Parts: sequence; structure tokens; C-alpha cells
Amino acid sequence: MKKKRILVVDDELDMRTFITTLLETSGYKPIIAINGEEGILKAREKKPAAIILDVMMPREGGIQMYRELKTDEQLKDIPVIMLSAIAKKTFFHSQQVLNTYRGQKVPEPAAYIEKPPETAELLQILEQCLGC
Amino acid sequence: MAEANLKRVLLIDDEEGIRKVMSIALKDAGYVVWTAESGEQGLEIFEREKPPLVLTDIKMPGMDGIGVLRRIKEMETDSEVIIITGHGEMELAISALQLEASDFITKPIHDEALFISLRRAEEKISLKRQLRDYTENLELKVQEATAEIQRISDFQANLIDNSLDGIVAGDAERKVVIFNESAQRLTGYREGEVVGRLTLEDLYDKEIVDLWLSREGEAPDPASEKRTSHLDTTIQSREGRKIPIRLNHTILRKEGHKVGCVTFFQDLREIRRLEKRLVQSERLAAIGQTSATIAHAIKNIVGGLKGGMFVVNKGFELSNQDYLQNGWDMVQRNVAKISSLAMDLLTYAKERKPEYRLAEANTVAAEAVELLKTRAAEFKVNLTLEATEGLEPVAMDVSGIHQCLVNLINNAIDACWPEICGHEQGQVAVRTCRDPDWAVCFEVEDNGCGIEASNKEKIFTNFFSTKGADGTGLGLLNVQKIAQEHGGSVEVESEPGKGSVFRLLLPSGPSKDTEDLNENGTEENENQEAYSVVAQADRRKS
Repeated sequence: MKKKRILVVDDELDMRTFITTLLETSGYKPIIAINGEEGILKAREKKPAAIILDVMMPREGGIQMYRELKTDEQLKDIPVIMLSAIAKKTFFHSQQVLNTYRGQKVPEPAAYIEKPPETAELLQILEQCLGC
Repeated sequence: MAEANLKRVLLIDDEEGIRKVMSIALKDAGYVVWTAESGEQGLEIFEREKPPLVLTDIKMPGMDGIGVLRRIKEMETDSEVIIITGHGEMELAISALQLEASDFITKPIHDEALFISLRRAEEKISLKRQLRDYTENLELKVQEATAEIQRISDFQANLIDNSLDGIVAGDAERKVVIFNESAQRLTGYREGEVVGRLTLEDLYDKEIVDLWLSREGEAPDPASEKRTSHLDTTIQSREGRKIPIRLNHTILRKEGHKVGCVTFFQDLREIRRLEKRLVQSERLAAIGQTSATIAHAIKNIVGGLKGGMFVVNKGFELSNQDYLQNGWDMVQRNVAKISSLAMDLLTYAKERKPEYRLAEANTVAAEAVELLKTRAAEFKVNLTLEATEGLEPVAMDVSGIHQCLVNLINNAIDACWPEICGHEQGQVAVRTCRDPDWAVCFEVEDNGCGIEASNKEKIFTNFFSTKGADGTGLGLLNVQKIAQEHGGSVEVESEPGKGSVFRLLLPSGPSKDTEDLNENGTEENENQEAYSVVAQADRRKS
């Protein structure tokens, strides 16, 4: 069976190395992007099965990229796991504010994990998202 | 109105003819007239109508005119009584005047005399009324003024009593006349034990009191006698202890003579206790904040180390050389981070003992640039040195300034990171320049991302970093600390998206207070070591 592609978007080298190693050794094919801009391009190009997305990144951050994904017909069905040092509450609040402000209704992410991620937790959530 | 009211007359006469004739004359002249045929009837009408004018015959059966006069004068009234007398009743008429009859007229009555007499009585009443109004007014005013004085006095007494300052006043004989509640609380004396019993020198130092009150006759010298500024001294308590106080005093004068003095004081123990508590709570707050930030920084690094260990373990498990390499790099990076954090914290926390020596600014700058050439190249940043020739050597702590420059240049390189600002070619220029106000100016300019206006205030505060997990948030703080130790300054100009210029400005010599610290510069080597470790850690970054 072909390995599922997982897009990992994070500006921190350490986090990318850790997650790609975790994914590779658990039977996935990780794809790397270091900011939101590159993340969107890679998502269009590689059609990943899921996206693990950091929130705070220089230039285009995770919040913007998430909204772009969810308002793009081609990409909106890809499950997104937010992975961030930002507290879950803060992130959801920011989404609500942006929804009101921009008059959009963007669905909530498939999952939200606060950094640092536990390996077992991350894998379990990923499996749930992929529905397998 | 008053005049109209006066035109009312009560006429009392037992002879009907006289009543008739006179009332016609009076009515013609515009008076309202009541008539009575006896003293008793007359008083009855008087009590009912209260006429201002009464004309009464002196000789009547029953109550005579004198009796009427007496009774009317007993009542509190302005009414004037004019006595009508017959011939040969002059004795009676005079006794009537003694009883305050207004006037008397004699029978047979001439209208002219009657009206003159009435007019005089009217004037008398009106004068009396004016006088009464005036008096009443005066009394009211006196009452008001008394109340106001009372109020002010109460207010001042309250003020004195409730003042948080102790207030003690003494008269010219140095006897205490005021001893307020705060003074009582502080000294343990009750008011009654002090006021009128003790003198000022029982409480304060005799010398101080002498200074206030001794030179009685001398001309006032406003400069020296105005409230003196704080004087820290003591006051004697009831138990004989000397309590430290901060004292002010004011000399009271009347017509140029000293009549006493008022003193105000605060309990220094209280002030000191409050000051101590304030410092303590600030310190605790700072420690709390610092610990939280350090804990956060360490937590991030531990996260990185754990991640590295996970990757290394996978490498062992699967005999995968790439995993081993990547994981080991992670571990090394995070160890470098934690050691640089520890070094920065040490530099920040340690009482540095800078060692000054004359040095060429250009040499110091060149060394820093040389050290960071490699790192700049890794980041694809063009690092240049533009030295101004002919600068005078300046006394500086070379290792400290070196560390400042390394910090500033590292920041400049980080600012040019293409991931952040998207520059094709990062440019960092280090310059040495002349400055009109300073002996030397080091300038580090980059064309990087610049500093947002909202961050400008924060960059010199501890643990503020825009570099995420890569910065300790202490670098600029250390630069500033070292600059200040030199009596120098750090300035920054920045435009978001265009770049920043940091200027490190040094005076021609060490500042006076730092010079004293310089006697044993034994920690120099330790510092040297510290900065080179930091520099290495910095170099290994990324």
C-alpha cells in the first residue's frame, strides 16, 4: 500500500526533524514546508492526506494558512491538525474573532495539539483524522 | 408700606365730644381711627388691633391714661402713646413722659399741635423700627460670624487631630500648647500629660529648640525661618525612648516677635518599614516574572532535547545513520541554546568588575567582525567593517565592549534572515565613527527586517525576544548594561522592512562610580571565558 503523505508546516528545524522522523518511522511519507506560503504551494502540489500545521511562523503564519486551506475548494477537505505552543483556547478565540471580522465561517480544525507533542498522542490523533 | 401702617390711631377719652371731634379731624387727615371710652376698653382694642399710635386722655374713671401707658409699654411693641392732658395736670404729664410717653398735648386741642405730635411719634416709631432692624441684623451677623469662626476652629482642630503627621506646637515660653493624636500615638503621652505641662525641650533636642526660639528679639530672616526642610532627629517617648522622626518646623510670629513654633513630624520607622516592604514586593515580583520566563525558555529547550533523543533512539533502533545524525544535531543545538541562556543569565546577574584599558576602537571592532565572518557567511549575509582612521584610543573594558559588538552583530545577522524579511542579500555594516558628544561611536547597521514600533520599547527589557526559541531575550539587555557601566549609551534607529542601526556610544573615560569598582579586576579572565563561550554558542546557532 502506498504511504500516506503528511504535510508538516513548521518554521522550527527541531520540530520538523522530530515530526518527520516520527512520521517516517510510523509508516507515513512526510513533506516539509517552513512557512504558510510554502505550505499552500506544497498542499496544492502534493495533495497530502493530512496537514500538521504550526501557528506561529514568520511571514505567513498558521492562522492565515489554515483559512486559505479551508476556503480553497481543492484543499478544504484535507484534515488539519494544529500543533502549536499557543494555548488551544487562544487559537479558537482568534478563529472566532476572524470569522466575525471577515464574515467567513471557517470550520474548526480536525484536532489541536499543544506543543510539545507526545509521540503516542500525535500518532493516535493523526490516525483518527485519516479515518483508518 | 411702613408709612401707611403708621396711620392708625387708637383714641381713648371718656368725653364723647372730644372723641367725636378728634376722630373726624384724624380721619380727615387720612388716619384709621378706633375710639374707646375707657382705659380698659382702649387696651382691649389695642391688643386686638395693635395700632402704632395711641392718644389717651390722662384723667379717666377706672384705668387712667398713666395706667394705659404703663400697660402698653409693658407689652413689647413699638407703639407710641401721646397723652392728652387738661389744664393743671402738668405734674401728671411729666410723669407720663418719664414712663416713655411720646409726647403730650393739652386741652383744648389744637389740630396743629396734635398733628405735629403725631408726626413726631410716627418718626420715632420709624426710627425705632430702623434701629431694631439694624440691631437684629447686627446680631444675626455676629451670630453668623461666630458660627463661622467656630466652624473654622473646629475644622482646624480636626485637621490637627486627624493629621497623620504628629503636630506639636509650643508658645514663646516653650510650653506645649498643641499635641495632636498622631503625636500622642507615637510618643505614648496623653494630651493632658503634655499640654501646659511639658516644654518643647522635654520632647525634642534642646539644641534644636534653642535654635527655634532663643533669639527672640532678632529681626526675622525669612530665608532661615521659613519652614526648614526635613531634619532627621528624634522625639522623646513617654517611656524615655528616642524615636526617630523626620521633622519640619514653622516659627509663629506676631508683630515681628516670636510667639511660638509649630512642629510637624513623621515616624521614620514607619517610613522605613514601608520603603522596605515596597522594595521587597518589587523584588518578589521581579523574581516571579524572571522564574516564569526562565522556566518557559528551559521547557522549550527540554522539548527540543526530548525530540532529539527520540530521533536518536529511532536511529539506533533502525540503524539509520541519518536519524542518528539529525537527532544528535538537535541535541547539540539545544545544549548550545541552554548554555547560551545560562551564560547570558550569568552576565546579566553578575556584578561585573570591568577592567579599563586604553584601546583602539577599530581593533575591537575588527576582532568582533572577524569572529562573526563565518556565521555571516552561513546566513549569506555580507558583513563589512568601515573603520574611521585616526580615532583616539579610549579607555574601555575591552572584553565587555567586544561582547556588546558580538551581540549587536549577531542580532543584525539574524535580522537579515531571508525567512523573516525576504531579502535577497543581507547586508551588515560595522562602523567606528566620531561623535560630537562622545569619545567614540560604534555603529552596527543592517538592511534586515527592522523593529516594529510596538517592539521598540521592549527590546531593552529582559526576556523580550523576537527570535522565538532562538533568542534568550537577554542580549541587548547585556549590551545596555555594559554600556551603562562605561557611562555610555545605546541608541537605536529602525524602520520596519528597511533595517536598523544600533549605536554604542562611549565617553572618553570610565564614569566615576565605575572607576572605584575597578581596583581588583580579577574576574576579567572569567568574563573573557564567558563571552567566548557565548560567542561559540552563537556561532553554532543554526
